Amino acid sequence: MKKVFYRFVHFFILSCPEATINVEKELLGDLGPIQRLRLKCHIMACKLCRSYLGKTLKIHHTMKDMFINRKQPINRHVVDIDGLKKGILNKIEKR
Amino acid sequence: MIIHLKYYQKLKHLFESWVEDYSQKLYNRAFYLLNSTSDAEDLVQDVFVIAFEKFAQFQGKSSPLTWLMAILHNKVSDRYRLKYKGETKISLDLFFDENRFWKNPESLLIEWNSFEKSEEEILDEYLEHCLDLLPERWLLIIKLTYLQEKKTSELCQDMGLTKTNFWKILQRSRLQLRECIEKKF
Repeated sequence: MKKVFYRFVHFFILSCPEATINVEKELLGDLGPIQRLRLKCHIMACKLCRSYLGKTLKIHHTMKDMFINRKQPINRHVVDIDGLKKGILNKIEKR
Repeated sequence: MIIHLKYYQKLKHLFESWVEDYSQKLYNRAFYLLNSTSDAEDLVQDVFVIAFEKFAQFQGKSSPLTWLMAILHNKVSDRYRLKYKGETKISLDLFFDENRFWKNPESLLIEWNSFEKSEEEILDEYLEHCLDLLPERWLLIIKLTYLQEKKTSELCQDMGLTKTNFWKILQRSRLQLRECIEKKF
């Protein structure tokens, strides 16, 4: 019975793989209004995708924080930054 | 001729201070994206040389660091395009069955807050490790997507990706990240 219900959902709204790809588009603000409506309907009807969406949002916000706010992990290794600076200035000098 | 020489000298002085102030930050970002010391060093050198040559295009609307970072991101996209030519095949077989139903639905319903650690602790602890397990190609796309506030069409054009493949890579990566985090519990 459950499978029949989900087949109905897939046919009329979206399949779960389609819903998960539309979640990505929604997160980056690239989902059109009709697709957004279809995604909302799917999420209301499918508790698995609802749970997936919740977890995806948490991952997305943590990644945003990691990449944008915290920028990147502090240097994991030492680099000869003075040598690098000299190299850059030499290259510019030759221009 | 004298005016030209004066301009050149002034520009050189400006770049000396930029090299002093921004080399480390640019290197950190380059290393973070490329994961290679020599590639990161080459990239930072290229960024300054390009900036020097195209200084006339810098209108001062953004900070010098923002402008230099934008050049760096463009160069990384160029490298990506040259290194990874052609589309990559993305399979969702691990996550969905032939009827497009979720495989292992029970694991999907596990609440992350039902463990000893808080959700925040779980994500802080495991996400970075799980990101490192993604294929290098996908990880670079994710980093460039989050670090640049560009439209999807621009991102795809820069990296030489079709939009379909771009979305599939993000979707597949996110599915893998969720599963990886849950396996760590």
